[in-house]
This record gives sequence, C-alpha cells and structure tokens, in this order.
Amino acid sequence: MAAYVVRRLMQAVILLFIVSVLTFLLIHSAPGGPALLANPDLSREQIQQMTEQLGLDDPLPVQYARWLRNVLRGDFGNSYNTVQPVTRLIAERLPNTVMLTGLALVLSIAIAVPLGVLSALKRNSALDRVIAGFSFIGVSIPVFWLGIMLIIVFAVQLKLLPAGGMYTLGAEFSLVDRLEHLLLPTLVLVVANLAELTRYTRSGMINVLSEDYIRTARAKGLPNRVVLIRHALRNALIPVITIIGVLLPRAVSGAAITETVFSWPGMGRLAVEAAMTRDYPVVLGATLTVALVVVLSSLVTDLLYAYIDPRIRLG
Amino acid sequence: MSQSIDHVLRQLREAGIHVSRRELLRLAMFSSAALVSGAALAACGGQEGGGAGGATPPSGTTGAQASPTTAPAATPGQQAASTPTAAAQPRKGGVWRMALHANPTAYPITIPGALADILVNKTIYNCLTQYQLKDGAIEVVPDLAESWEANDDLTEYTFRLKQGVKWHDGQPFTADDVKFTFEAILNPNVNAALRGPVSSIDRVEVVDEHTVRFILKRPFAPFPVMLGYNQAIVPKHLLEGQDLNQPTEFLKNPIGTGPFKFKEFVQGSHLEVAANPDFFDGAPYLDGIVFKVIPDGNARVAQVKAGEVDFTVIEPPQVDALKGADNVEIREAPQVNYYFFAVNHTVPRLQDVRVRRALSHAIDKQAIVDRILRGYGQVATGPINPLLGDYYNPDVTTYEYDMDKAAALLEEAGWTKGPDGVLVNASGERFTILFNGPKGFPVMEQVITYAQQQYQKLGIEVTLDIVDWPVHLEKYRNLEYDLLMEWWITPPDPDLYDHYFSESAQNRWAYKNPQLDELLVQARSEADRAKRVQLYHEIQKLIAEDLPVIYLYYPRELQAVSKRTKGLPLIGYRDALTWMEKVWLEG
Repeated sequence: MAAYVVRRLMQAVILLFIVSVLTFLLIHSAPGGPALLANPDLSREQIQQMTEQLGLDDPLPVQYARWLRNVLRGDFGNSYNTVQPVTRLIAERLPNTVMLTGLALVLSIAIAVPLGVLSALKRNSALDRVIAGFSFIGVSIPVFWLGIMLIIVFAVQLKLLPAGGMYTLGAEFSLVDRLEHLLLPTLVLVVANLAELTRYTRSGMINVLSEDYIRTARAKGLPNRVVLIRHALRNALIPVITIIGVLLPRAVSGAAITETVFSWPGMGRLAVEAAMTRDYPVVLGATLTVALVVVLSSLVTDLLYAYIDPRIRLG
Repeated sequence: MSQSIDHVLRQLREAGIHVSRRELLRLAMFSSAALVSGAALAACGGQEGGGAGGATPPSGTTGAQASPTTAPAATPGQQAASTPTAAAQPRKGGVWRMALHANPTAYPITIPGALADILVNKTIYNCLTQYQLKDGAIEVVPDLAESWEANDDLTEYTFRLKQGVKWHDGQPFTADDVKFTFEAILNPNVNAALRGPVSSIDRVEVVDEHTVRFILKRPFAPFPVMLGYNQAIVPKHLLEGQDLNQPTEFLKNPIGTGPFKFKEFVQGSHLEVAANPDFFDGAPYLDGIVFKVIPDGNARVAQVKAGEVDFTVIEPPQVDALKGADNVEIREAPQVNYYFFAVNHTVPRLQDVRVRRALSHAIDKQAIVDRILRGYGQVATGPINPLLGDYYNPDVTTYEYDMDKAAALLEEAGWTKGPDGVLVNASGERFTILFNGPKGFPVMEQVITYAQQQYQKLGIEVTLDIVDWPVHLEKYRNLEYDLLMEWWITPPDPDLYDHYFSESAQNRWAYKNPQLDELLVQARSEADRAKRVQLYHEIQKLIAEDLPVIYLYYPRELQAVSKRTKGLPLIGYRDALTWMEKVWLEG
C-alpha cells in the first residue's frame, strides 16, 4: 500500500512537469501577449524595454528553465498585473473557492445520492420522472442566467439576500452573514452538479439491484434496509465516487462563471482573469495548483475504491 | 442651514455679485448639490480676491499665461462643501461603496493605465493639479500645488507647493517628493505607464522646501494640465532605494497625501480606504470608501439596484435595467473622449482622402448616437472635444450621412463595381477592408457591425476581426488592420501632438501630414492663449479636411449613483474622484 502511494506520487511529479510544460507552451502561444504591455499609453520603446525586463524576449526554453528554477526554490514569481507574489494570490483565493465549491459539493452529494437511490427503487414511477425532469432542467440552465435571476429575485426585488461578495464589508464576522452570502452561489452550483450525480447514483443502483448477490441477500431473508444499504448502495457508490473524483478538482479550480456573477473572489476568476490578461506567472501557478489537486484526488479516489470494493487490489 | 446660506451670500457679495437670500434659497431648492456649487463657482468667476476663504483659482490657469497665478486660499471644492445644498447640511459619517470592474493596485507609478488603479489612487494620492468643470468646459486648478508660473517661452515652470501637507505616516510632504516622483516616472528603468504626459520634462530642481522648478526640453503650454493627468506624487522617504517596478513592501501599506488612507485590500473582493482626518483640504465627510471588485456588468447593475454599491458606470443598453429603481439616479457626465475608426495609412487605397471621406459619408453618426448610444453622446466633428471650451471649433467640414456622395467619391477615386458587386480599381485590385475591434464591448460591436453593412452597400468587401483586448491592441500597434475602432481619452487640453504628429510614437495610424506637424508644434509652444486658440481652430479645420481617421462621437459617461450620495461633482468619474473629500451620504 505505502509503496503504491509512493509510486503514484512519483508519477504525479512527472505529470505535473508535463502539465507545466504544456501550460507554458499554450499560454505563450496565445495571441496578444501580456495585457500589461498592451496598455495604449505605452510607447514602442517602453514596451520593448518592459519585454526585456520581464525576460519575455528570451527563447521559450530559456524562459521555461528560468521559471522552473525559481519554482523549485519555491518562487512562483509575481503577478504582472498586481505585482503580488503568485503564491500569496493563490493562498488568498484558494480557501474562498474551497469554501464555496466544497459546500456545494457536500450539499450536492447529500441531496443527489438519496434522490438517485429513490429514483432507482421507484424506477419509472411518477417520482422518478419528476426527479429526472428536475435534473435535466438543472443541467440545462446556463449558470450565469440562473445566477443573475437569483440575484434579481432575492437581492434586488425581495431584498432578502446579498447580491454578491463574500461578506458584508465593514461588518464584524458573523456566521449568519457568511451563510447568507454563500447561499445563492452555492445554490447555483448545486443545481448544476445535481443532475450528473443523481443520474449516476440511479444507474449504478439499478445495475447493482439486478445483481445475483442482491437476489441472494433477499433470498437469505435479510431485511430490505440491510440489503439496500449494506449490499446495494455500497457497490452502487463506485461510479459515484468516480464522479466525485472528477468534481473534486472542480472544487479547487473554482467555478469561474459563478464566481464572476456573484463577485466571489475565488480561484476560477483568478485563473480566467489571468488567462484573459495573459498574466503568465499567475496562469502557471493556478494551473499547477489545480493539476496537483487533480492528481491527488485521483489518488484518493483509487484508495477509496479499494476501501469500498475489496475485490480491487492496489499494487 | 441659514447660517451657511448667509455665509455664501456674503461670499457672493464680496465677489461683487448680488443675489437675494430668497433667490439663493430657491436656487438651492431646485438644484442638486453639484449644480449649486457649480453656479456659485461660475458666479465667482475669478474676480474674487480671496475673502472669507472661498477664492476660486482664476480662469485660464492652464499655464498659457506667463504671469504668476494668484494663490487661491482654498480649492473650489471647498465651496461645494460650505454651500448649503438642496435639502440638507453635509453630514459626517458613512462608507461610500463604488464598483470596480477589476482588481486595483494602489501604486501610481508603474501599473496605472489600468483604470481600476487610476480610480483608487485618486482618493489616496494627490497630483499637483486637478480638474473641475466650469461653464461647460474643463479647467485645471491647484491640488498639491498652491500656484505656478512659467517663464516667457514656456520652458520653465515654477510650482509653489501647499504648506503643512503631511503624508499618511505623518512625515511632511516637500519639494523633494515631487522631484523624486517625476525622476521615477522619467527613469528609463521604471515601467511608468503614464510617462507620455510629462515626457517634456528635462529636469526637476528643488528651489526650496516648498518650491519646485521644472525645466522642460521644449516650450510646452499644457504642462500644468498634464501634471493633473494621473501624475500622483509618491513619498520619497518610503520608496527611495526600493525596486520601483515591484515595490512589494510599499504595496502592503501604500502611503499618500490624499483625503483617504489605505486600509485593506482583499484580492478579488475589495479595497478599502479610511478618512484621513488630517487631510490638508479639510477632513472628508465620509468615514471611508470601499471599492468593490465586481467583474460582471450585470452584477454591477444588480448591486447598485439592490443598494449594495453607491456608484457604477454603465453602458447605454443598461439604462433600461435601472429605470424605475427609485434609489438610483442616472447621471450623464461629460468626458474628454472621442470614438473613431482608425485608418491604416500604410494601406494604399486608404491613403486617398476621397476614399476616407467616402467612408465617413457612409456612416450615419447621428443614428449611432440616437440608436446605439441611446442619445448619450454627440456627433464628433474632430479630435477636440467641446468640453475644451473655446479651443473647440465647430465650424469645420463635416461629413453628413450621404450614400450617393460616398459612392460618387469612391468612383472619383477610381473604384467601380465589378461583376460580383465588389469595387475594383484600374489594376483589378478589389476593395477589401479588414475591420478590427475588441471583443466584449457591446456598443462598439454594434457600431462595427453597422459600419460593415454600410460599407458592403458601397461594394466594399468587409471582413470583421473582433478579437480579445490584448490581441486587438497588438494588432493596433503593429498596423495589422485596415480600419479599427478605438477611442482616445485625453487630458483636458487641445494638444494633439502625441497622436497626430508624424514621428510621434503614439501616432498609431502611420499618418503623416507635414503641414499639420508644423501647426501642432507651434500650437503647443504658444504662450498667448488667444493665439493658441486660433492655431487649434486652424488645426481642426485641416484635420476635418484631410480626415486622418473617421470621427464618430463624443460619448457621455453614464453614472448610476445612489440617491443618498451628495456632493459628487458632475464630471467624468476619473476626475470626480479627486473631490471625494466633499462627498457625503444622506442619513
């Protein structure tokens, strides 16, 4: 087991290296160059000079080597736009995103798994159709539209909830205030996640329910509750865990659109805004952070498989 | 209230203007705070000698005069404060919240250019001069400077600085700080984004603790105007010896002289400033200002409607969304700005002035103003904005909407319709236009699409090239376009040298006109104001004839302001923010 984890972690390092090379190439091949240099007030000479100062006139391999050398020393460089260290930007933004998307993920699971199980048990019933209907609506609504609609209804019209931000500025920290600010963006994310998770739970559950060992369990006269939870759900969760493994990095990469609509200072916005303004150090830092989480969460997912399904052996 | 009414009456009478108390009250009742103070200012005119503390700077302190400028006892904004306004007395307290579209950086030397930085810095720092609107024209008035004078040939400017001004950390502000700031901006190793406006400086001399002299490379009339154009003064004692391109230490707690002190910055969320009780021009009414970062345009509108921000600028299409919001007022603020189709003068077919005139005749500018800008703007006759007062010359050649004339001009220039309806010239070249514009600007996209249709009607093959902002600017810089839509926001001075002089680095169109070059240099070196006005009238006539670019419109800035906001001058928000110490919130 330990050897397996160590081997996976070593693979992760190689993977991160490849990701960094690809990101570096991609962002540098995007047309336009850093927005910092696109300032219409700058003269041609100044742009030339700043390009040299930032080292952007060196050949790409040289630039990459310099970046890598600094990263290995723990220096991800400074943002072109705000002059702040990239590590600090990410350290400030990451918790905000984890708070929002983490809560949304937990809520999504808490709602979607029971709904999926229910759908599977009452397959093709009216309830199943209603759940399916809502799932499809949820997955079809554009996130930005839903976000703006919720703001218009709950913040502008009813004045019940804040229209954006993380907390009431200038006020003392209060849990109620924080939850009020979290409510609408979380709702948007849950609606978007729900369909996927419900459908996967449902189909996983249906597959499992038709397995021989369920019939056997029932034949043994086990109570229905035990059959469903101990035998069926546990096995049905394997595909669900796969999906959570996919959703987890999303919790870190942030939900750029939701964060933008609700002025939420998260990772998604950081990355998107950096990409739009070609803020190379921030793009690289944010992408590597997300890549790291993807690698780790796929490792955790695999470990969870082994725990849930003893037939899976790691090594 | 009545006491301050009397105060204003006294001031006005000292200025030789007699109004009755009732008239003044009525004026106050029917006007907004800004209007009253504006009217009072207009009335004062510059005749006032400096009585009870309300002297306005004399008009025409643009530096065009060589005579010493009298020291005003107070800036005009102070009158706005002491002027009794519509319903209530200015009230202390409260936090004003303004929407920003992006993260600001409270450091004025290198990063600005980004609008968010400029806006925030207006409240933390001061320039030597600032702008105010008077009689529909923008004029330059003192800020950190007390007065200034120039030598006869406009190559030396001596600025006297206000005394007793302190940095937020308590250190005194002196001429050394001014010298340090401009040497930093001019240092080739510093990435100063706004070096252009002060590039005329050869060196800066400290005369004494409160006097500084600028020695210029060439005669330059608009110098005092340029010093107010985002040229914020920074503290020498904190920045000397630091890396001026990345002053990470300084950025943790930026220090200025302004009415508000930096309090905190939370990435992606907000930047907060708190009142500076020791501000040299009097403590602000507000407790503080929060600049909220709200990247989405619809969210900004929703937040102002929900009462969560007090100010945001909006686009004409967003006006409808705010109609019926009884807590929000929509204001039209003048700004020195013009929109145009840039013309690439390295493209042979666009070098023919008849072609450029045809391209202008084919565009119904009034329709653009009426339908796309929803009336919030004015058709542009050239690069000089009517806000520049008598510098503006309305009496120039204009290109009214006339498709027949456009077609005739193109034919005259040798372009006739080929078999497929596309114009060709004698050598068989097809008339194509690569039309560039930035993505994400709905108004500009509409204008470009409209222009495409119009030009296609004339038989021109138009390819649209709507691209991301950095790409757009790169193509602009490298002349990779035929036509391109852009705008210029400029300091409130008619100087066009940077954008129109043949060899200027900022001449983005490769436009060359020796006759214009000569006039441009002459006009920016002219000390006599009347002669200067005459020269700029001539320049505008010449430009209208030769049409370097296709002039479209002067937009007005649309501000959505909460009704509880009082005392905010009705002027573009870049300039309104230099008067934030006068703003207060109604109970």
